[in-house]
Amino acid sequence: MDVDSIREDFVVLQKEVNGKPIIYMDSACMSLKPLKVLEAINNYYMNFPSCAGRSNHTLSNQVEEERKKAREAIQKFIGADRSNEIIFTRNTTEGLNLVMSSLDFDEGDVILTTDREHNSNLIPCHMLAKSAGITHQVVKSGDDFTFDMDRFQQALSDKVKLVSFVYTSNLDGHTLPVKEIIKAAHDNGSMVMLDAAQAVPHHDVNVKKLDVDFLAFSGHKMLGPTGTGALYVKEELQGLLRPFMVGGETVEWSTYDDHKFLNPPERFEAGLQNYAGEIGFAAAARYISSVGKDNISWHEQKLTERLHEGLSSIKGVEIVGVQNPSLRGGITSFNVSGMGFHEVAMLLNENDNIMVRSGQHCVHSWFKAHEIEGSVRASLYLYNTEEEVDKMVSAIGEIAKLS
Amino acid sequence: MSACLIALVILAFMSVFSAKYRRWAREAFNCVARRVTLRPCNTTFNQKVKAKVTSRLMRRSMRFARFTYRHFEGISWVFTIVMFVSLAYTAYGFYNLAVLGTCDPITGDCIFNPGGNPNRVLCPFHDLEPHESVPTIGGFMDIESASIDGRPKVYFIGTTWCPHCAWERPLFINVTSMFSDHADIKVIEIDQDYTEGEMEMFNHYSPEGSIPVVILGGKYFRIGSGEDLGEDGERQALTAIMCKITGDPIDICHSPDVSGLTAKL
Repeated sequence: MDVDSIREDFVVLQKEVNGKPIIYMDSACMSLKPLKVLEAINNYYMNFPSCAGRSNHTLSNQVEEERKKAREAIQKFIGADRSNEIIFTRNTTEGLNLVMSSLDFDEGDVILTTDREHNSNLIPCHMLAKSAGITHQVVKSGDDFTFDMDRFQQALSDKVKLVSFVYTSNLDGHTLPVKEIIKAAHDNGSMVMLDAAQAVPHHDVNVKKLDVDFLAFSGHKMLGPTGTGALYVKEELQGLLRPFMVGGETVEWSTYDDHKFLNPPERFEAGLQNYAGEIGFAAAARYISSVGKDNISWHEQKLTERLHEGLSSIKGVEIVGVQNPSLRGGITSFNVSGMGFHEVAMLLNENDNIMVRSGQHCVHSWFKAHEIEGSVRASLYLYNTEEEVDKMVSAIGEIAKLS
Repeated sequence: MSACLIALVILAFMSVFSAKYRRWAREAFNCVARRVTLRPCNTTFNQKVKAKVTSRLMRRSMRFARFTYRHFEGISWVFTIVMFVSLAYTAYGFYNLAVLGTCDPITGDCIFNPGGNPNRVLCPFHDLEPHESVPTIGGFMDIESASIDGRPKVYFIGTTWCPHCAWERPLFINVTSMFSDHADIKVIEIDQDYTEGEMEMFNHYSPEGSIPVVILGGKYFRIGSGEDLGEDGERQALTAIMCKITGDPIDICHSPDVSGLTAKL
């Protein structure tokens, strides 16, 4: 994988701030956008900025065609059988909420989550506990912060209707053994939903091989535009979902008293859609495929191990979460003892233009449970280099001297 | 909180001249407003200021940066207190300048009144032209054209709030009371009760309105206190002049120290 060549596709990486280049390590929040994605979005707005499906003119037909291709591109990207299994959303949060709000739950039904869920998967469970009387159970990790399969097996009961897990944690990059989890859940008669926001952009995710029931992910974390995402829903389960948001483009016909919904995915895509975004989203998927998901995964792993080795050698730096870098993908969370995490992040930015995230990363529950106030999080992607990692380690080394 | 407070004052001032500081000033204001209403600050402004300052220092001296980082809260409070004290002194100076014509009534020094004299302050009473006189002992001026006729009159003119007056007044009273049988003594507080004639006299001897003014027999006068001489020196100077204008009526006038000074008059 030619990283230098890849970096040239990202305009923002050519910029300098205060005479120094940008070192972007916040891809877990938002990835950068390659020229091909920007050109695809621009192409829509410049050449066919029209509605899809509602009109019958040339531009409209063109949008419809591009949208269809976009859906197929996403379908292919995650290995789905049919394009109608892909529902376009605004982000992972919307996808997760769609499923949680649309499935019928009875009082006493159980939803299992891990102890490291993003709020977008956790809070809907809280809401369902209040509104539908479901029981939300948390499957705690092991002492080494890795997924505890035994605890999960013990938690599975006939009351468990849905297992909703984060595929790859945005806290520490730990990837769950989802294949085994899905098999165990299905054997128990439970459905499985995966929050794949940090998984799909970084390694090969094939929904058919996994046999997952629902899978949500975002476009903005995989080089795509903001306001884009997708929810995969296994075709045979689509009938279980009540339409989440209804209105224009969701119905075949309506009268004053009645209506008929369109088939999925349209019945779940109400209102005018983000056509430019979807086209850009598809361009991002094609770009990643052209680079190669395995190449990206391998590159990130190498960088993470390098970063881990460097940070571990600095006195006062504590890695948060799973300690083994080979289990962590491209995400490394850490703290510098005696220093606030926001201050560390700000100093990295001020001193060396290194852009990381700091705080609780929307996983407040995990930090509260472990009595940690927050952390600095560096998240790497295909455009990061070894030099940037070395620069990060050196910068942290200097900052750690302050405490 | 302290960093937000001091940053607010600085950034609010800089915002007047440059729009790029206004966002920061607003953030500082929001943080301060929340803290004074006993709510937690919901921005990371404090940390931003700390990081910016530390980052700048790291480029120059790691040691200094480390010290500043570790004691940032304390250093911020020191600067905040110094800032408020400075603001208070500045406001006091402007007040004095408006009311008294000098920023510092104690030293008389003022950027708007350079070369202000020590030991006296300006009183906002002024007018007449100065008279011809020559310096003599104790900083007093000898009005050569004046003479002492009859029972001498001695005056102390000051104000109740003037610190130099507060120093001089008891010495004046103490010395002149020894000559109470031989001179007419009056202490005039020019900010309280005075006659028109006394005001004219004050204006005559102190055209700029400085105080205190000591007038001895209409022949010798001084604008300002004798603090430079010290208590003993001032006591001797006053005694010598009182002896001179009253004709050496009491024993102390014949002491070697006093008579030695009297001879110089």
